[in-house]
Amino acid sequence: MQPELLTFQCGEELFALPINVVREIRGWQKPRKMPDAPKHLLGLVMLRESPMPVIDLGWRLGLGRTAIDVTTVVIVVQQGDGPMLGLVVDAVADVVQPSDSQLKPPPPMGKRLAMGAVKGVMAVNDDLLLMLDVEHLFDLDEIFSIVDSALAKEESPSCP
Amino acid sequence: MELDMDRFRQIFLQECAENLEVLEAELLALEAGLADDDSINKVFRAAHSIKGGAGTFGLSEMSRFTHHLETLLDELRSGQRQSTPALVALMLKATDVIAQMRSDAEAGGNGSSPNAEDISQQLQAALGKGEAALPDTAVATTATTEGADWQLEFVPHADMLASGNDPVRLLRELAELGMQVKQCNFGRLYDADYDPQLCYLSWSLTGPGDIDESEILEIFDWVEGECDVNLSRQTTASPAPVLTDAEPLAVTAAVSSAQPQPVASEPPKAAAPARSAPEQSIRIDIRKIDQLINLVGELVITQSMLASLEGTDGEDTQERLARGLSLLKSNTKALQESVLGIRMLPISFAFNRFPRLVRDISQQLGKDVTLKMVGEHTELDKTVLERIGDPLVHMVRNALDHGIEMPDARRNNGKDAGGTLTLSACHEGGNVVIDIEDDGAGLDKQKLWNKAVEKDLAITRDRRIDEFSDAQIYDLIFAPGFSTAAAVSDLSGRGVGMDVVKRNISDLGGSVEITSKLGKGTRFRIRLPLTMAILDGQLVAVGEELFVIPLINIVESLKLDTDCLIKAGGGVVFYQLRQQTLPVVWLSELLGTRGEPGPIPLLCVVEAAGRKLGLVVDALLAQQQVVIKSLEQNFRRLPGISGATILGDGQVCLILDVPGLVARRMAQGGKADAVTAA
Repeated sequence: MQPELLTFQCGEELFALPINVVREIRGWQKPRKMPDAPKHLLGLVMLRESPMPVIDLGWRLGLGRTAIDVTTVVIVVQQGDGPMLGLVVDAVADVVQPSDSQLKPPPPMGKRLAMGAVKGVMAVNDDLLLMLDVEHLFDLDEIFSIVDSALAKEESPSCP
Repeated sequence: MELDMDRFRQIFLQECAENLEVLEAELLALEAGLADDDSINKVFRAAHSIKGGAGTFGLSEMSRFTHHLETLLDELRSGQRQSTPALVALMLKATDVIAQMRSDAEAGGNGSSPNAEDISQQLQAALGKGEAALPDTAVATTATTEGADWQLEFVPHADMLASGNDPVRLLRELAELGMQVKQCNFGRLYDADYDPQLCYLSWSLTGPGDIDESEILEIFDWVEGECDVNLSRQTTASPAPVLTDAEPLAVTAAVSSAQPQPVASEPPKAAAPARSAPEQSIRIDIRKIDQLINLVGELVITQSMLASLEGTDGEDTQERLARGLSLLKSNTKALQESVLGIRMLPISFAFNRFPRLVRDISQQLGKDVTLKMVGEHTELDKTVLERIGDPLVHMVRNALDHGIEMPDARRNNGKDAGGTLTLSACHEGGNVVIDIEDDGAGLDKQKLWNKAVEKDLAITRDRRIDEFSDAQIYDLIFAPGFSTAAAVSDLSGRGVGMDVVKRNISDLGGSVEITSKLGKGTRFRIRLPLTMAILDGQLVAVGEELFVIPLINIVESLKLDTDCLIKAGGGVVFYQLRQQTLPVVWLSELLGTRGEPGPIPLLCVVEAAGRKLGLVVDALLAQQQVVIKSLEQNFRRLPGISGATILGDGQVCLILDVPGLVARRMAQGGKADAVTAA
């Protein structure tokens, strides 16, 4: 029995994360900017007495910047009792039971998507879900090495 | 299971450290002739606990070694042996060995020490020596009765059963050794209202004399303090005849004839495998916990009071709400203070190493020094406490080495031959003040000055002594590369100067000042913040962003006069402030957002490690105390940022790391010095 998935909308795409790494879903709160941080790393917000970094997931994955409005949500993810990270997404969609269909390798989507962060695709209830790789999300070196899309560097982020 | 064992081992190591402190403190008291009857008992008990615990946790070497010390202490305790300075010195050395073993065990080793063999032999030699035994006047009962039958009085305390210990089990173990119950005494039964949960009985046992004493006593290892045990050899002779040198004591003979088993010597390990750091724990006074529980209770009451107002709109609702909120405010404040108080430990944790240190060093130097300690109960934060230890040691060494004169020199100056070193601590506002004061020679300003000139220190170059205040001259001591010791002694001249001491204290957000009277003495006064969890900060605005600058780093703030800006190429900018030229940093650049500067930019002059830096900000806002939060829990360290805090409205705000910014700027502009010198 696989864990249930939380699905959410980022731009045109539907992403999914195992529900057991999601700690909470919060409304938008303006984060505090950090020095020397890449643009998609929006800054810090306080979560239960400790500062938590917030990243714009769409921006990080190369889908362009997420427009901030009243429906914007921040998904707080954490593995075990490791560090916490806030992901800014357009909207939360649903909680689904994954089908027994195997996770398929992600389709080639060109340079449009930083594919390291996507583990694979899975069809659930006629939707095609992009499964995020949790480990990859927390890779700080990778966060810092992502080149702002403004610079349009022709290199995919390195995966250590 | 494995985990549990590890946890108990940690507890043992912690208790062992405490017992070692007791050992050292009491032995020093013994040496100074300040010991009371209980001192030797305390020392014995401490050694006994260490031995028992070490045995339990498989630290056999430690257990064996401590056993010799314990035997020696037992003889002192029972009056079979008189304490001599040489003996106490030996026992102090033994304490050091046990401490080394403990550290080794803590690092994941098997609890060994390189000096164990040597000291162990010395201990055994001392044990085997008859002349260490008592002079003729003393009565030594045990000696004459070697081999006589054992007699044991076993009197459980009434509440022994409550701790889960059962006298019957002990009696059974004694029976296995061959001890037999001769008599059960139930006298106590009759003078009490009978309570089936209490233990009223006591027993007298006897056993053949060839049982090893330690075997009998070992049975009572786990019920120490829960029963009285009196073990003696049956005496037929009334007053014992006098002991002669040729007749070693029964117990000692047994010990010294037992050759220590050679310890299996392993090849030296290149490096002990690094184990995960032991969990940081802290022992808290139970009263602090009780206070917290009370405060939380009050908070709950306030909360329910506020909750009861929900949905009511009587005319007194507003008033009740206001009262509830003010209660909440005071509850919260009290709770915060209490919680911070948990991390507070008495400074005696830093002070308690000094009696030994002062003794050792003054002996080494041939000086006579008395150490006085005042205000050991002054509390400060655990982190500060841990980090102030080394600087204190250094300053104490310095006072002993350079401050206090040799006895002859003191006499010639009409002083007592013995010097006094006083360590004192007290609270002053939100700070702790620690004084290290000696009644020694004092500081000779001219000498310090000559030394600085001779060393060609930057600070005194092309200057005259009369341009400096006394305090500034004394502060030369803290200049890098300065040492007044004529000869490099192995105490102070170890490559670590007072400049490091000063830097350590600055890193803790503290300061140090020197006052001195020639011929009368010197005082180093250290001021430290009580805690590193809170700092006084200045909130500044940069565009839309806010920062906190630690108040301690701020020298002054002024309006930025653009005419005073000096562009030095390479993007490096300086500011001409009166006679000084400071490097300048725009805080907005730090964020990579060269936003619109405010209408009136301000220059906030900060200082760290003796270097100044100008920070350009848009506005100065409130000064407030901020609680420091580390970024590392969910993120990583950021250059130029020491942490974050949370503002009243829930926003995050970054705290600037001024020393880091200064260092970074210095690395950028190597020309800075050239310009400043110009």
